[in-house]
Amino acid sequence: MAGSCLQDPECRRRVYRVEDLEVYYLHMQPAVIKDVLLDIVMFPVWWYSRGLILMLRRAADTLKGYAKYMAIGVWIQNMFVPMFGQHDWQSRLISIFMRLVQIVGRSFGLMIIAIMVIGALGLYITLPIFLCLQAAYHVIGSFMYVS
Amino acid sequence: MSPDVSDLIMQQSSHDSDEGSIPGVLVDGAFWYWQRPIDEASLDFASSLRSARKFERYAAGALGLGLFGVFALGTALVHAADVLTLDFWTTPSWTAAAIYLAILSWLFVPYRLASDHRKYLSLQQLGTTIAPELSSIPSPAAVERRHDIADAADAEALQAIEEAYRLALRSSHADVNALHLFTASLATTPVQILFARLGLAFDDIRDPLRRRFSTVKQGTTVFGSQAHGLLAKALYGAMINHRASLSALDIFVAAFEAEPFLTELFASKAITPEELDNVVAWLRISDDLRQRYQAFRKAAAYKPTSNMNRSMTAVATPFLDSVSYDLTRAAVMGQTGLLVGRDTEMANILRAIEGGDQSVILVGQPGVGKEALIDGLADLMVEERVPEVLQDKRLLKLSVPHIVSAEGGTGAEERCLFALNQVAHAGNIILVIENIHELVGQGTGLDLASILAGELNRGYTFVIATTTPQAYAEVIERSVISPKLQKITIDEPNRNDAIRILEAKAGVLENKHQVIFTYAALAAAVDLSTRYMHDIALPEKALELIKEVALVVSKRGEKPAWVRKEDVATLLSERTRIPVTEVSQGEGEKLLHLEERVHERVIGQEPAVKAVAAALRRARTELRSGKRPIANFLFLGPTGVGKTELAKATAEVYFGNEQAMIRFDMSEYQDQNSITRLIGSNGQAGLMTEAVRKNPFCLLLLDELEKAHPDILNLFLQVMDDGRLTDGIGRTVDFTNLILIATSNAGTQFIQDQVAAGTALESIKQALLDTELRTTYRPEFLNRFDDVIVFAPLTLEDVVAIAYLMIVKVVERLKAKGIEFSVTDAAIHELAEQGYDPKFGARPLRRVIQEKVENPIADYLLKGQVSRRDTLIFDQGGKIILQKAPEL
Repeated sequence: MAGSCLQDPECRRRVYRVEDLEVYYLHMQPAVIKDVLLDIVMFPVWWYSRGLILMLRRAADTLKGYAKYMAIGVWIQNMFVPMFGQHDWQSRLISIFMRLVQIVGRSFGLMIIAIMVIGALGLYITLPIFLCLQAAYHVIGSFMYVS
Repeated sequence: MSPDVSDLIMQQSSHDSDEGSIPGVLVDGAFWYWQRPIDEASLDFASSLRSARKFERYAAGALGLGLFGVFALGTALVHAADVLTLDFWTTPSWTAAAIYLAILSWLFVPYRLASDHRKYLSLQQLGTTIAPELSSIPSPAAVERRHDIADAADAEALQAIEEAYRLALRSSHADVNALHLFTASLATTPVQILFARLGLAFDDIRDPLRRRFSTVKQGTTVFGSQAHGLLAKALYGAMINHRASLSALDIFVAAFEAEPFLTELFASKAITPEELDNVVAWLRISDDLRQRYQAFRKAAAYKPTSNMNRSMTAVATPFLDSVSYDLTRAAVMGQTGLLVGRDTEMANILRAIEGGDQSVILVGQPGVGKEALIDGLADLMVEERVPEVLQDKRLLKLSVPHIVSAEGGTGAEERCLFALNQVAHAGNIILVIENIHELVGQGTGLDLASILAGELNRGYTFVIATTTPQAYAEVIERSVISPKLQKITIDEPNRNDAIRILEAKAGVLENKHQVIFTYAALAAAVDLSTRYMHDIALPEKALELIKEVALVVSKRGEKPAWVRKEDVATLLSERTRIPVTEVSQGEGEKLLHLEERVHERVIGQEPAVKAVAAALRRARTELRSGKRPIANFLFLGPTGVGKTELAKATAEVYFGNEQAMIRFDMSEYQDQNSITRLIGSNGQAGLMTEAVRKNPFCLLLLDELEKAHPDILNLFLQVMDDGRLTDGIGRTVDFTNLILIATSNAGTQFIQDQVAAGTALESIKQALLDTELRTTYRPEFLNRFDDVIVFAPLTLEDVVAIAYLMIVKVVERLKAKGIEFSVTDAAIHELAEQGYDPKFGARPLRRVIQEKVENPIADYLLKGQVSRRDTLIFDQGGKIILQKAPEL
């Protein structure tokens, strides 16, 4: 019965809509199977090509956002402009000192964030390899243990 | 079984080149055309591929779960003791392998999702400077860079395209055409929303659509160049409207435009292409707003909300903060609405600020959106999409009342100076002063404007001020501050822009009140408020209206409740007492029998009544010109023939109330100065303009027009022509919703003589217009009247009929006291004869009835001879018979 439905386009269409699961079962044409297999093979390729680019882009966006938030450039630009509109020389001195502290502090903060972002990237790159190696080690090891 | 995809592309291409050329869109050096094959086999293939993809996702997830189950089970049963030891993880075991493999399978899911979501190319990333153009190429090889339109289409658009093909296939139509694409797109979300907004259901168009389908050529279904051309047009539409992708809505629009039948079909449902355009724009606006809002929220996270700027060079401004409102902070908090349109005005403001002449003044009527523009500027400052002078600055709105009225008004100058000082100190503040005219010439001798002008001269800051055109002309232009402020005029948006602003604002109201606006409701809000509300400008007045309508409709309890055109009209009718709802069946009936209703009050004067009734019918069915009063009439004739009575009857019949009449006796306006009494001058409102402004929907009766000063006649010349007047305060008063009736006794003697000589009324009128009236009125003045109506002197029969009417009134008054009253016919004829005077019409009749009928009855009442339930009979010779009622 399943076979006859495959031959009849009207029946096939009906089946697509009503029972998705049945479709997987019924309609695994060779071309589709080929495509699915290709898709699985493409998984690691995608991970280290387009997927990696996406991740890099996201990491860059995150870093850019935090850099804007910390506004270190603004602080450097205004290095010698007194804070809070206090123009006497004492205030200027304190201001320069405060700005230095701010710049150092903010740079440090940004650095930590950068390290975290890079760490996440590193995890993205190494995780599948690590998982594969570990899985292989345990599977092969278990086989050897059994034998 | 299934043909190879690349083969299909080859087939498709060769098919296209057979037909000569491939339609597509050329943009930025790349040619976009439809490449994906659409036929049964490839659709089936694509469909099973989609299912397979879905299956992969679920299978990977399920596999991961299963493996995790194995790991959990293994841990629980075997490795409970050593799972946390290094030993467990370094010694090979199936349990450890399971968890690694589980995570690996789960990683497959984001891969599948991510590569599915990257389905379409973002059109917005294309170079926007280069305008796309529709074109065609002989073969794919003719261009170097090619794109598939399918890659730019979103899922629903692809679904609609496939469905269009299937639709054609099911009906064995030879070619997939606009009708198929149109019908297929109806099932998609955006088009369904579009239909809902239009107040249209699929059932409304199903039958004509089906009939049309039956005429399509039969054959083997091909997704050919016709469909390809349409999709190219759809893509072109998406590109020029800056869409991110090709959506089902774009396909709908392209199909609609390509098929004249569809235009006709929609027109038969009272939907014009322009309306459809506006609704499509509405959907796109909502889309854009969502995107803009997301981008704005993202940017807002980087804007400081304290009164410090990023470089901390600013100074705390405690006093200023207490007398102002921080607009940039409000914008970061999301308290300002997004600005819609107004690109030119915003560019003007930014240019003025950037180009030296920094301070600006926005001049516009109340309600045109000056505040919205300033809010929009605050938004731009939050996103830092502004010229450098505005970057990293705060926009503060100075509260003039706080400055002026604190401490009973004393020390306002000091407070103003102090606030400005803080602005100078802080260096990161831009001041907004709304209604700056309130600062100027406060009467009490203090002039804050000169202080402000002095400070602006020092050049440390600049202000953005607002005012109205009247105040600008009267106050600002003459004040010292005027040269410092660059004027930017904010005009009322036109109809379409106003509708689009409402479309943008409707979403918030819809959420708040759980209602849904139809397009017709928004359009009606703009149209009706333009016509009937004149105190504030668009878009504010239309916004007020839809806010109120949303509230009213939400109270009905339906969920979701639809706001329709009728709801807007009903609300406006209630507010202005103008009948703006569509003419109902009952009212239509009433309008058709207007003459009879008027004749219940007015006896004779057939031509006059007919002319008035016809004018009223024209007005109510919207056939009249909207730029003049509903009707202008000149009633000519001797006194007492019913001129004023007809005016009153008209007011009662059309405006529902005899009191809906503004009456001016023009004999009181005989000298030239009286013109100022009518329209006001020097900041004072006039008697007539004020009356009409407060009650724009009424009858304006000008008695004895011939006595008015000639200049006043010129004034009415303008009223009759333009339907408006400007009063002494500078407000435009609308006269388009009233009926203007002027009565005149000019030429009375002539009329009486001619009627006595038996001349027809029509020739009398002509003679009057040609000769008699020339001495009183100028020809162009007479020409402005819709009709000059000559009232014939009353005949004795008319007076008898009037006597009946007057007696009925006496009867009614006595009935209120519980006393029956009747008059014999002979007595009425007698009264009429006594009261008939060819010179004075029916006027003496009233006196006769008073003397002969009402006075004796009053005596009866005072003497207590007549009491409740008794009957009085008035007979010939002034005899009154009293019939006592039996005792209770």
